[in-house]
Amino acid sequence: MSVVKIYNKNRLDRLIAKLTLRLGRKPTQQEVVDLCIELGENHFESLISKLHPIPIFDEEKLKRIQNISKELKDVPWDIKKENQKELLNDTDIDIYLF
Amino acid sequence: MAIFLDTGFYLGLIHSKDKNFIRAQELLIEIQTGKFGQIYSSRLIMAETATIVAVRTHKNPKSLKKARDLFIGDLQIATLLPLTEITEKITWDIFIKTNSTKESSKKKILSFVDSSNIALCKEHEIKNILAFDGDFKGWLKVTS
Repeated sequence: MSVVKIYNKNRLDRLIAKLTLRLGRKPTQQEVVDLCIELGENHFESLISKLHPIPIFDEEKLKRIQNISKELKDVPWDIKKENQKELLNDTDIDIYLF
Repeated sequence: MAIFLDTGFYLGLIHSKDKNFIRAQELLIEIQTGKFGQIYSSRLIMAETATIVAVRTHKNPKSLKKARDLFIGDLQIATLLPLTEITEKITWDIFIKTNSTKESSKKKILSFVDSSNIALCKEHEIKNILAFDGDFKGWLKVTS
């Protein structure tokens, strides 16, 4: 057990109130915070993007992105729908080739 | 100031035979200069791009890895906005409303992913979308 300060306690209270309405019982603060940590572990990339929201985009990254198409120049880029149909199941054909 | 990147832009970055390749490369340079401000996209755009790249390259492993790098690897360009419960609801509202009008019977369907682009932009006050197709006119300023 450890004590952690929360910047905006009202948000935790509102979250617990919403959960209480949905669950029909009031979960404890500890229960909710523990589950939020579990959610953070399961959605790690979202957590990262919240903590460091702006990806760095420097000259080096620009050059590396520009090189992608050069590195893939020998790879096919097949836009013929008849060929693409063989690679997709029926539902995905409706989504991607419709 | 901010811009939202649609699927077509990512496809244009990946392969030189893509119809939007040249324009995507030009816009990439403009994005890097900071002209458009903060850069956003979404996990649904990542999903669309991944599948289309797999189809068009006949599941070429190198292409799939390069596509991944643009979204969650060290070549990530945009912050990927998650669809919250609220955004999902707004997305459904836009999707149903836009595809249910009398005028819409003569138009192409506004896809659920395109509807989510509009919803995310509204929620995050992003006024500009970089898109080569999709009907965003009336909703957002389109850069293409």
